[in-house]
Amino acid sequence: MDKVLFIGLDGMDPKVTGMLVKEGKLPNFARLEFSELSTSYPPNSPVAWTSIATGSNPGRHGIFDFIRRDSKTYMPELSLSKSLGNKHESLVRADPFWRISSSNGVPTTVIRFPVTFPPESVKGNMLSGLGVPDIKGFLSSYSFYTTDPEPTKNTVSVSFADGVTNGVAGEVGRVAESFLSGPKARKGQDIVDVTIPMKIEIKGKSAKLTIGNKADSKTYEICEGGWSGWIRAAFKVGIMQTIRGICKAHLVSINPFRMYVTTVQIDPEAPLMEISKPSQYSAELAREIGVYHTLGIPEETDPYRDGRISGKAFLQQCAQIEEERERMFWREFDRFKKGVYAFVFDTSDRIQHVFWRNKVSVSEKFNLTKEIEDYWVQKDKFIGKVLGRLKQDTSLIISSDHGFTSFERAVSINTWLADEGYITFKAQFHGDGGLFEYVNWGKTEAYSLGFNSLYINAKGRESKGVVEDREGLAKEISSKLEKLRDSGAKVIERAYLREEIYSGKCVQDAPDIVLGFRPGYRMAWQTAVGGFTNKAVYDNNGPWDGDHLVDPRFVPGVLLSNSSISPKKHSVLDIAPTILENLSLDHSSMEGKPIA
Amino acid sequence: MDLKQLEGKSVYILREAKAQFKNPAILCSFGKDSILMLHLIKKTFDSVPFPVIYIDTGCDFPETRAFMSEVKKEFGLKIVVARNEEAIKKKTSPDNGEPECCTALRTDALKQAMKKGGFDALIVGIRRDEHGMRSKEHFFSPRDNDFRWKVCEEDKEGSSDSGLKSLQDPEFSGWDIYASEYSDTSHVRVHPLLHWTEEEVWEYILQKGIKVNPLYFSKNGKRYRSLGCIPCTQPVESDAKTVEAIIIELKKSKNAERHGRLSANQYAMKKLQSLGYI
Repeated sequence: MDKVLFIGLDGMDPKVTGMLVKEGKLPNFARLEFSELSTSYPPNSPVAWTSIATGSNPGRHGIFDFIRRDSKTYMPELSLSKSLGNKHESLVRADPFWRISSSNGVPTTVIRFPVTFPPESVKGNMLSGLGVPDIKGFLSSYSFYTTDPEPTKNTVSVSFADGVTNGVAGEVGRVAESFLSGPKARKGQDIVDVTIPMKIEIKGKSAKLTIGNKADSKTYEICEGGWSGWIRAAFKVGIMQTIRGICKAHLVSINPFRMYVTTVQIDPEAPLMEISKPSQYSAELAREIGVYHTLGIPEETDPYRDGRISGKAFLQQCAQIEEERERMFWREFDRFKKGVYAFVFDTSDRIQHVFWRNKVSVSEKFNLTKEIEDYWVQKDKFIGKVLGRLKQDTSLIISSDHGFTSFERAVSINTWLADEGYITFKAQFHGDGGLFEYVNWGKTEAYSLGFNSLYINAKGRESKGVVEDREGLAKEISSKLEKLRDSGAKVIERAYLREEIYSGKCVQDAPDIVLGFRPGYRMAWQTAVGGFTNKAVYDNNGPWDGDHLVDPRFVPGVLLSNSSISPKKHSVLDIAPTILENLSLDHSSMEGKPIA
Repeated sequence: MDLKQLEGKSVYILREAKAQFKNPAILCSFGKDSILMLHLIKKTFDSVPFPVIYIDTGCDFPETRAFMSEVKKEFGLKIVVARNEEAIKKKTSPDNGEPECCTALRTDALKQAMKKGGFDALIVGIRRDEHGMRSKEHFFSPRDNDFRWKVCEEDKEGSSDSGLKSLQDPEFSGWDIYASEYSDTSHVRVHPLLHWTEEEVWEYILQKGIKVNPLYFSKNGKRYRSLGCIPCTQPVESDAKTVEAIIIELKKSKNAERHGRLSANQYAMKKLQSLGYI
């Protein structure tokens, strides 16, 4: 075959899929060959998707967690890309399948594949996915405008005065002067948010937003409970320098006034930085299918978790994103004549994180929530359309990166390390002491960050390393962690030494211990960013109650194909070799093996 | 210098200004430096005996206007509003270029007000630590007819090595000798706060319980460190909700190993926390 269509479905879980197939709710998925798919060590999306793309283990591709550390400064940093001022650089150190296909002259299209920011040139089009920042350089930064008296995180207080709207006698509304926050810029000695004015006028059950400076302001109308269309904003950051962004507003309520505005994202028609190759592709796509979400993770779970928007509003946002993704998909599908076309849908991951609602510890019976079921039923319809239009000359491969389980108890590994005497502090502190602010490195032997990573403060490697016998200490800590109990329950299935699970040129950058938590347990976010908590293990009470950052053996993904899948065990390392095999291209540089 | 000494020097300069000039005015933005200046003027003369010029650019913060009304009542001020109606009608804005906008809405408005009032001196609350240009300012500083600070001119007589002739006598502020007499100028700027630092201003405000514009205090994790027109004034990240907290924040940022280190860490943490898993 000279045509391969790869569809990625982030977080598709074999037990969820199995249940729904058995109930007859996924008739189109049921038409395909099915297998479980072993995931990566650890089953973090950036790690697993990079293994899928490169057919190699993290020891070869160099991505070990969402968060990595700088061994000189101990600072945690995102591993989705490396930022050097306004430029970004990929940290992936193995060749993905699209590089091999492109270098062999095979038409290649890659849309929204995770960890493809910055984009690279392919023999076709690439649109970056997970990793694309917003115009502030963050992965998300929503705003919440409110008249509530005690505003907190991300809120902008507004107060309304009586005004006259429309200049029409008798039609008196209420007006508030506010602002839309844009990119960060240096002004003198400070780093400030560049803002543009936003006037909010409310009348009855709707609001009118006038956004922008006088010369180029635009107006948007929203009804209570509804969404605006795309808001296009221009932020002047210097002489002759304007940065454009896009966002949407959701009017939660008029009285009290509550309005959620999404993260201001890169405008695909005038991108602040390249999010596609060729660089004009993002604009070309927007002109054809309409403006679209460019953010790496546009499904904003934060405002839902913070109680700013309802679950219904969050799902509406997800539906908007899915709908535009499908338009994107079909636009390229209609042009797909030859070669490889890879497209990843990742809304499923976010929905499962916040609507899991199943506790491993309570019972073995799994109750699928309506939100998750509805998503997969819709996705099945999409797959049905794909199968209906797919010609026999095309090999279809569908895979996820990992499965899912519950997140009930958070584990602060740094707190445990401090309790065990492996971390010493230089001063007493309040708060979580994030970014290792209070750690006395001269008396600290090990530290943890990211979601599954533990490092030894090794002499000659870390800038203030003190441990001479790195391997010995790693074995000691690994053994202790595997004995850790939470009211009698085992917390960590395995604390893997890196040499057990990784091989390749990047192993020296790997964490010394990779933590494989038991289902129900996950790294505490405070440890992930180099901080501490009062207790080493505590309840997770938020709506983010589904996760996959556990021992990979508990969260395999799925593999589906319109071709036969051999009965042996398959892993995420096998996808890229399968794609290349189907294109009759050499994949001997990869570790995985074709699935047939 | 301690606060008493700072205050004493400011009082001296203000008395010199009243003695030297027939018709001085005060330029007041109702920011913290302006308010400090009004308090010092009242301390010196038991009242505020000069008119106060407020430049209305048409895009000032509503909080500043509200605060201005309060202060006007408290001090019994005579306020002269300087406003360039023509530029405001033309919708002049930073979109035309920030320097052009400031010239039209601020400088030209001030020129009009100074001419109309016949003021020969303008008391302004600038400080040397604000930025490079101001660090070179004098306590008494002449302005030409174009409101420019003319420090020197071409030496036509050829008596200097540099080819330039100074238009200002040096100030020996250590001996309280100021050059306050000028001719051939449109007006003289009087800077009674030139020797104060930002931190010292806040410490005095704290000590005397002086009320300031609420925009200086943190709201939603941000506050304004300086106040101007809405389009060009940006807040900074801060949790300081009181004067004490502002002083602590200023001290911390001054003592950081590298300037902006606190900001870099805050930025790094925000970037990490923007990952949904956190």
